[in-house]
Amino acid sequence: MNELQASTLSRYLEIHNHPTLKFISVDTSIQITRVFRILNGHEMKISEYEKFECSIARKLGGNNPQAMNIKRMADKCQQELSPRSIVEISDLMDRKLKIKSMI
Amino acid sequence: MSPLLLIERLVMESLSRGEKDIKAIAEDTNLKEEVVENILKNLHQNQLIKPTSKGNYGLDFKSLSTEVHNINSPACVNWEVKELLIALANSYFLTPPHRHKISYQGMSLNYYSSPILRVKKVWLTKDEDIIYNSLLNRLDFLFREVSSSQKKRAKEKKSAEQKIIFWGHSQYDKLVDTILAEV
Repeated sequence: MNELQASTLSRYLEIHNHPTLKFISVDTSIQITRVFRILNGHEMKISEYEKFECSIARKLGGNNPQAMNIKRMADKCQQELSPRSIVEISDLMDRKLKIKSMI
Repeated sequence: MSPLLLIERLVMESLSRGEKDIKAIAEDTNLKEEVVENILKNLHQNQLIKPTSKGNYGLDFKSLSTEVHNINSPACVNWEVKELLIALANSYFLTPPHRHKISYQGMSLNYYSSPILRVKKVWLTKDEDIIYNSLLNRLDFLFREVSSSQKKRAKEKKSAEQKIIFWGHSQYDKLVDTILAEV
């Protein structure tokens, strides 16, 4: 299983509190046998990857709209804020990721 | 090189007090050994530290002499202060401080265990401003004294046990102007 697929699936399973195959199938509109294969390491198609990511965003959005909107917010910041502000925000994100990679 | 993270600074500060192996750094900084290992990897890549004898690490003074201006530049220290302030605010508001009375030289004092954070918005009269400034001077004096006796203490204490103390002030409109100018 590639790293991106593993990370998406682990986030999906964590966010949905380790759901059943049936739940995943209904939630992502991916056939249950295909879900089973994906969870067992078969490589995902881009369309399947997007379905998992959409579900993660939907779920996060329900509890925390800002978390769901982070990509949209980043786009808006890039369009509207000063270069200095953009650098500050991206530096902060970069530092958070750097800390995450160390722990 | 990007500004050092707080945890990278902590490890650098620990090594500035002498060469150590991963276990000793973890003990001195209260960080997990695997976290220390990752930090050391990064610092070594940036040539700020180097492996020495017997699995020890030490500061790489040769490259530090050229990098020290960068590491302690206002932009980099600004990040350090911001990270400390955010962490202090988060820990303070999540775990309100425990306060108890202690007796010191016949006086009863409130003793605040960490974390503590105080922010006041006040108009000071000229006299009050002078009193406030004299207290700041006393704080400066106290920490100058502490710095001079620090070396002896540093050998017995862990880096992680240092108390982080902030103080400072500004005028409300100046801070607002800074916020407005930065967007």
